[in-house]
Amino acid sequence: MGEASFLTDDEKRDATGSEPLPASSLTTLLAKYSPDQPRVPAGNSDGGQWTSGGEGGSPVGDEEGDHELLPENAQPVQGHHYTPRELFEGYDLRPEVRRFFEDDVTGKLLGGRHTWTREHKVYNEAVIEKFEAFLAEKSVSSKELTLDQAKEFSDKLVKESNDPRIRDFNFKIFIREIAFQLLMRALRRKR
Amino acid sequence: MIQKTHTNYEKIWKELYRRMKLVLDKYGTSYDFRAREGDYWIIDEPYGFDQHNVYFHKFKMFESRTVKELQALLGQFSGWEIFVTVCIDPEGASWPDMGLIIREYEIIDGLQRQYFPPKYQSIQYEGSRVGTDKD
Repeated sequence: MGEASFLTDDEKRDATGSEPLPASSLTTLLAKYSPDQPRVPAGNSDGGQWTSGGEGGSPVGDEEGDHELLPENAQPVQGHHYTPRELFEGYDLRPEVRRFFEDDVTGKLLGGRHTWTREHKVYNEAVIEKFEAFLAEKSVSSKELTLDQAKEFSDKLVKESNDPRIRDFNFKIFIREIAFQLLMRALRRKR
Repeated sequence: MIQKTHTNYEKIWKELYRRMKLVLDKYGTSYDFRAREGDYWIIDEPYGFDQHNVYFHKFKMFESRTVKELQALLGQFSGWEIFVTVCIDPEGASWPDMGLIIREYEIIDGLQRQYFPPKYQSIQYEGSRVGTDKD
């Protein structure tokens, strides 16, 4: 929520629930996140995004008119690719594998202003390094990689990675995703 | 002038990306993550702000003409800025985060030139100033 500088402190508290919540309280934010919350199934173009539950639910933050709720400077983006573009555009992959990587994104994010850090490059290099190692471990070329193997790579070596180069960057993105969901929930309540 | 709305953000982002690449390709090559070689890399995902981010991997990319040409692009993209990050890692050394913020009418100079080779320590950018915590 620290990124949402256009909100007043009260609005930030409102966005995070009825009880007072320090904007910096990561623990509290995480306590509100349930990993069991339903997500759109993988393979769907919204695969992996949170839903509000129920069948065929649209991703949270994707309801009609949501864009109009946002201040002009709060531009949501479609999400961060877990697998860098340099990987799925740079390697010879089966069409279905490439499509999976293309669609394998976080939910919508509240835009975060970059600073002069090198973390994005470090992340990309680390994921590509893991990918090369994964191919070697499976004894396959990139062209032979199956969809199941691509999913395994994405889940185990990227999303659940313990490598700090990957984990820390994904964690920052994850917090932005939460911030976006909370902001949209609060703005919808006011509508 | 290209006016931004909520619905055309990514279109504008892509157009500025395309134009930045045309400029930078004149002076260097895009970074190849497999070979870990190259002179620059424009972050290829839009992150919501009216901002592009480019990493410079070689000192030559900091030449004032390159920066000036990037700045000239912003005349058509009101309110947008280009973050340039120094992404040079000399072997065995750890450099602080530093770079430039290029805007249409100014350049925030956050380079710490003491880390640069002598040849590049005197680079100056017209219309630049030192940044503050409000930048």
